[in-house]
Parts: sequence; C-alpha cells; structure tokens
Amino acid sequence: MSDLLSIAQSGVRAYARALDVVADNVANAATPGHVRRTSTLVPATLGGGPGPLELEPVGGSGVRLQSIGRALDALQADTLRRAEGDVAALDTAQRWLTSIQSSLTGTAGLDQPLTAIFDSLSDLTSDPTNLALRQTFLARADALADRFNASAADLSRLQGDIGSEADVELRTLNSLASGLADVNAQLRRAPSGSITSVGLADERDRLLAHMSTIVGFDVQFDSRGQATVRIPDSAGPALVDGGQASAARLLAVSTGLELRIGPQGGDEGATITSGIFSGLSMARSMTLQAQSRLDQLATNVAEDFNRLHRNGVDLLGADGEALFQTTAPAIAAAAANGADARLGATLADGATLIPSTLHFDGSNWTLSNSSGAVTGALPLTLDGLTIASAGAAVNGDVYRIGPASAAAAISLRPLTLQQVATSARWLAEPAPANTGSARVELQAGTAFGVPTAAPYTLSVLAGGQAELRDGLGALLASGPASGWLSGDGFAVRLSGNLVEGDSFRVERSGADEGNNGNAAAMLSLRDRTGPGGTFADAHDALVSSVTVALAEARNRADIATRNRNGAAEALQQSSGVDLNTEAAEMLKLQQAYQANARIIQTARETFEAILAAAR
Amino acid sequence: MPTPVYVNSRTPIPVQAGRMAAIEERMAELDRQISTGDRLLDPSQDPAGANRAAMLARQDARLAADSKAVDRNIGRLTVAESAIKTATDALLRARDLALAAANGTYSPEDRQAIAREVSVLQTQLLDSANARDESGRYIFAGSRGGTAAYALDADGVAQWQGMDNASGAEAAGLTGLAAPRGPVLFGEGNTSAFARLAALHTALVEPDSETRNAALAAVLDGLDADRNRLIDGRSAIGADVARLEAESGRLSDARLAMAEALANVRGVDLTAAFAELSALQLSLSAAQGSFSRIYEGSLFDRLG
Repeated sequence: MSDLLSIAQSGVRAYARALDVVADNVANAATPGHVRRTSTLVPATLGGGPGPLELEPVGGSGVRLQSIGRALDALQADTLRRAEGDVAALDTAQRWLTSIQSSLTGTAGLDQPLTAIFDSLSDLTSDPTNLALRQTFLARADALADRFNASAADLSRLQGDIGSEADVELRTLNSLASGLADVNAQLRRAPSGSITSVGLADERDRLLAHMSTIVGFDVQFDSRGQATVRIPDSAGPALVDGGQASAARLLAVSTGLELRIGPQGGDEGATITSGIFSGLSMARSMTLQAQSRLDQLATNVAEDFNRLHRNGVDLLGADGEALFQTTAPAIAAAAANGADARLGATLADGATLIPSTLHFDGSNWTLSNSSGAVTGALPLTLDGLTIASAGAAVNGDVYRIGPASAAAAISLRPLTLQQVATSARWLAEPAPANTGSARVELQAGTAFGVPTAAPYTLSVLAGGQAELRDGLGALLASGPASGWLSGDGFAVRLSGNLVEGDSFRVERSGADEGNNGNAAAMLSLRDRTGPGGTFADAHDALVSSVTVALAEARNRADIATRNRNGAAEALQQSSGVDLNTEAAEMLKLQQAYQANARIIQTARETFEAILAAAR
Repeated sequence: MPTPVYVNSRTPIPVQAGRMAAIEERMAELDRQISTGDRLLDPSQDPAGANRAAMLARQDARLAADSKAVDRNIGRLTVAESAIKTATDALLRARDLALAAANGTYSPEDRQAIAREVSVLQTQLLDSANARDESGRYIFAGSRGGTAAYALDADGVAQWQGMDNASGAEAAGLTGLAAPRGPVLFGEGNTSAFARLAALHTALVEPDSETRNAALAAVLDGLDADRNRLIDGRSAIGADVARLEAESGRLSDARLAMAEALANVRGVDLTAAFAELSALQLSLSAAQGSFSRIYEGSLFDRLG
C-alpha cells in the first residue's frame, strides 16, 4: 500500500516539476534568447541514482524527472550566428558608405564647382579683360578650393568616427569575451541537465549571438557546454578558452583594421571575416581610398592650373603667379596632452612649411623647427608659420605641425582681379609688307642668361628656313620654320603659306592685353586627355568607386538579411516556444498530475478501508 | 548598431516587422522620387545612371558656355559689321566728292566747302575704325583693345596701334572668327584709307589745277581699292557670322537633345511609379492583415 502511495507521490512530484517547465516556457515565450525547455521523464527504478532534481526515490518504482534539456539545434544556431555576422558587416559598411557618398556627392560634390570654374574660364576666353568675369573666375576658384577642403574635412571626420565606433565595439567584444569566460566557469561547476546549467547555456548563447555581430568566429562546445571561441576559425587564436578570455586589440592599417588577440607583445593576428569589424574595416579602407583619390585630384587641379597660370601675363603686364596655394599646416596633438587647447595655424603666402613642434612649459610656448625656435606667448611666428590659440593648455603639452593633405590644403592665393593671367606671354605681329599668310605659334620658354633686346623679328628665309633676331639685329636662332626656334623666354615656329622675305615682330604681352591665349590654355584643361583623363573623369572615378561599393553593399545586405531571417525562422521552428504546443503539453501533464493525485486519494481510501475493517 | 535576432517564440515578429518596414521604405522612396521628379536622388541606387547623368549635365553646361561664347562673338562681329558699313559709306561719299571736285566746274570756295566735308568724313572713318564692343574694347585693335585702334600721328594721319589678334570664339573651340585686325580693313601706312582721305583733303586745297587733278585721279583709284578692302572685310564678317549662327543653332539643338537624354536618365516614370506605389500599398495592408490574424491568439485563449 505504501508503494502505491510513493509511486503516486513520485508521479505528482514529477508532473508538478514538468508543469513548472511548461510554465517557464510560457512565461519566457518572448524573452530574447530563451530556448524551449524540454523535460525528460523516466521510470524510477530500484537502484537507479536519483535525478539531480529529485529527492531519493523511496523504494519501488514510479516516475522521475531525469533532466531538463534545451531544444536547441546546434547546427542551425551556428548558421544563424554566421548569417548574423554577415548582416552586421554589410549593415555597417552600408551605413558608413552612405556617409562617404554624401560627403562626395550632391551639394557636397566637386562636380558643380569644377564645371563652374571652366564655365567662367570660357567666359574669360571670350572677354579676357572684363573685370566682372575675372571676379567670377576667382570666386569660383575659391569655391572649388573650399569644396575640396570641405570634402577632405568630412572624410577625415568620418575616419575619426569610424575609429571611435571600432573602439566602442572593441570594448563591447572584450566585455562579452570576459562575460563568456565567466559563464564557462559557472557551467563547469553546474550539474549538467540542471535548471542552472540550462539557464547558463541560454546566457552563453546570448553572448555568442552578440559577439557574432561584432566579429566572425568559430565556437566549439565541450561536454559541459563550455564554449571555446577562436577567430576566425578553429586554427585561429583563442579569444575565450574555458574560463580564460584574451584581450583583443584593433590596429588601424592601410587596408582597414587588423585584429590582434592576446597580451601585447605576445599577440596573434586574427583575420576579420564578418561582423561590425569587417564592415568598419571596409569603410575605413574605402575612406582611405577616397581620401587618396581626392588628394590626387586636388594636387592635379592645383598643379595644372598653377603651371598654366604662371605661363600667362596678367592685366598689369606681369607674369602670372600660382593660382592655388597647395600647402597648409595641420596640427596634431600628442596623445598624452593634458588639455585640448584649440590651436590655429596659418602659413604666410609663399612660405615653405617646415615641420615644427609646439611645446608648452606651463607659462610659455615654444615653437621650434630644424632651423630655430621662438618662445613666448601665443601667437608665435616662425619661418612664416603663425600659431594662435584659444583655450587652456597644461604644462608639458606638445603639438606637432606638419603639412595637411592636398585636398585639405588647397586654397586660392590672394590674387587681385588684375592678377588673373589670361593673356599669352608672347604675341606676334606680321609686317605690313608681308604677302604670305603664315601662322605664328608661340610658347613660353626659358629666358636667356644674358638679356637680349626686344622686339624680336622672325624672318622667313629661302627653302622653308627661318631666323630669329633681336631688336639690335643679333641672330638668336635659325633653322627650319616649322621647328621651334628658341628666343629669350619664348619659342616660336611657323606654319602655313611661307613666303621668303615675310617677317613677324615678336613682342611680350603688355598691360591691359586683350589676348585670350592663356585663358584658352587653362580652359583646355577641361578636355585634357591622358592616362588619368580629365578632372571630370577623375572625379567620376572617385564618386563611382563609392557609389558602386555602396550599391553592392546594399544588395548584399538585402540578401544577407533574407538569409538571416530564414535561418532565424528555421531555428525558431525547432527551438522557440510555441504557445499551442505548450498549452497541449500543459493539459497532458495536468491530467497526469490529477490522475496521480487520484491514486493517492484511492490509496488513502483503501488504507482507511483496511483500518476500518480491522476495528 | 545591428541587434542580433535571438531565439524566442516571438522571433518571427521582428522579422515580419522588418519586411513591412522594407515595403514602407520603398514606398517612401517612390514618394520622394515622384515629388522631386528625380530618380537619382541617391547615386548608389543606380551608379551607372548617376555617372551618365553627371556626364550629361557636364556636357549641357559646356554647351551652354559654348553657346554664350558664340553669342558674344556674334554680338561683337555685328558691331564690327555696322562700323564697317559706316566706314564704307564715308568712303563712298568721299569718292562722290572727289569725282565732283575733279570735273573742274567748282570754284575754290566750293572746293573749300568740299574739303570741310572731307574733314568730317575723316573723323567719321576714324570713329568707325575705333568702334568698341559691349565691354568697351576697341574691336579693330587686335589684342590691344584697351587703347584706340587708330591714333593720329604728327601728320594728322591715323596709324594702327594694335597688335596680334582680338579674342574670338576660341572658348567654343572655333578659331579665326575674331573681329578682323585694323590693317586688314583700313590698310596700313601710306596706302591706308586714312592717308587717302588726307590726300583728298590736300588735293582739294591745292591751287594748281593740274597737280590737283592728278592727285584727285590717284585718290579716286585708291578709294576704290580702299572700299573694296572694306567690302571684302564685311563679307568675310558676314560669312563668319553665318558660321557662328549655324554653330549657335547646332548648340541649341544639342542642348535640347541633352535635356531629353537627361530627362530619360534622371526622370521618374510616373505611370510606373504610381503603379508600383499602389501595388506596394496593397501588399503592405495584406501583410499587416495576415500578421494580425496569425498572431491573434493561441490555444490558451480556448482553455476553459
């Protein structure tokens, strides 16, 4: 009879526990990371050890709750983690590429100012002495330089922001890794199949899922459920091994980001295959690429315009000067500085930038370079470099001043309207008596060491020959008329109908010259062909490299998200809580519980009947 | 920062919400396109199309600049043309006067009066030769348009002060269309139209009839040559203007074609956009309806 009681008692106990599991499932139906619990009921046999959740079963047989399990499909969970890493990588890349794109296109694009400067050069070629058009040209050259500066500033800010996000994610990864190591340590102590171990496994999977969004890894579980995480695969360095977590560090390199795992000095490189790190790495390398292309374009624009502008003659009759300034100082604060004083550096027009150091000793600033130093209160000037400040500094603060990147440095030099050199440097005038219609071509050349007397006369000789004489009649050059003859600061050649005896006066352009030769030469930069193509081609290549990468990242992100969702749904089918199933399970267990309770009652009645019979 | 999808029974909910959000996002994008009429607000939606649109826009700006350069040059040549016409008229009048003076019936006083008129004609010719364009530059002075093309020398004869050529339509890639240099139209030195009128003036006040008549005959021959030079110059300008106008026509046709091409690349196909928009609206409401149906309740609701 006591057997009957104890059997029914084991049933009531086991089913009550199983009902607890159902209640737990229902309660956690919407808890992120809760994997459906399963309860395993087995016959309680004599001599069998007790389950971890059972008291020692008394005698006979009955039922016991052997273990609580997690209905997790490990393979699907792994697939979901990998899919999650891809989504995070592409989402991140997409997010940053959108920012890079907006710093280079639309209203921030270089396309419009580049078109505008050539527009105004076209106007200047039509009407080279017009002051309003010269004003427009200078304003547009200034706007072009500003746009370069703005894009360069945007890109370097983005680069900084990418670095900050990487730092935040790295800290998260390190804290997740130590969290996982803690969970591993607890899993080692928790009895397997217990409610504790199941809860810890949930926590472990949550940490792994979060880690998978940061970086791609390989995970192995031992019999106790402890996770060993290696990056990027089972041959890589271990981030978490049992209760040990190694520190991860990120290095900014020219190809993006490099992940290193282990203590400094003894660390190992780990390839980044997916996750936010992968997206950030791609964004970083794309930004670097865009920066270098932008700098290249700025350098080309400045050098080409400067070279051509120097060849011309301005409205005052002087040689053209450089149009764009191409060097500017950039201040870098030392990492150990105690305060962040806001410093401004300017370089005098025409001065060469010498890398300098600025040091604060608590009361005075010292600005020094390889050739000397000045000490005192700011502003300080040394070799054309002026440093001014706002804000406080702390004793020992050091700043380094070096050249800014080409796109950040480009600026319009302070030119007056008259200083726009639109005229070619040399002009030719046919003699009144000429009978032929030969065409004279002139180009600026190097001046002679000993100056010669202007004006110069180019005469056509017999047999297609020509000679060049200076104002005093001294012969400067002679040779075939179709070849370049070098004069004092110019070279000249003839083409077309050459008649012996024809001559041409060659003279340097003077003030208020209406010639448009140099404006037309600068305008022809619009069509310059070559390996790099035109400025517009270089600009298009810069923009396309970003837009194409963004379009691709967006498409791949769509596909990755769909994959991830598929994997999530598949995992949900096997591992999630389904309320209908739980309800049915609850009814089943409830009935079993009631049946067992009834048996206890029956046993009691039977027992009482026996006692009554004995009275 | 992306949040990972964790396992739980409500996982399909964020997944499906994401799908609905994607539909809504596409609808918002269509709405933006319809309201702005621009398909390429985000270049990465169609990098090749955006690149082509940029090239077309650039080409269009270039055509506009070329067109401006051509128009400016046409304006300048038109001024030159009317100046030449005035100069030709002056020379024609001078020829009539020389012919009249040569027939011998005029008294010295009459010739004095004719000489006074010739002086006026000399000024008229000088004014025409010193014609200015809309920027105030002397048209016939070559590149030295800042100063008068012709200035009187010590003998009172106008001499060319210019140098080289003036600016033409080089900005539009057309060379040789600048206003002609002064000497091409008015001659140079002793054979210039100015020297001719001065000679006429001298001849008219010459008392000796033989010398006078010989001088007048020489002037008459020369005047014909001078007038022909101007007429040649004028017809050359006429040809240049015709060429520029043809170019101007080509440029406006090209701009029209460019605008059409740009509209094709950038423009939104409104019919397609509206059709897609209503299709998306339908899918969105269907998705919302089925979602709420499916997740309405569970077996627990039916348990007594």
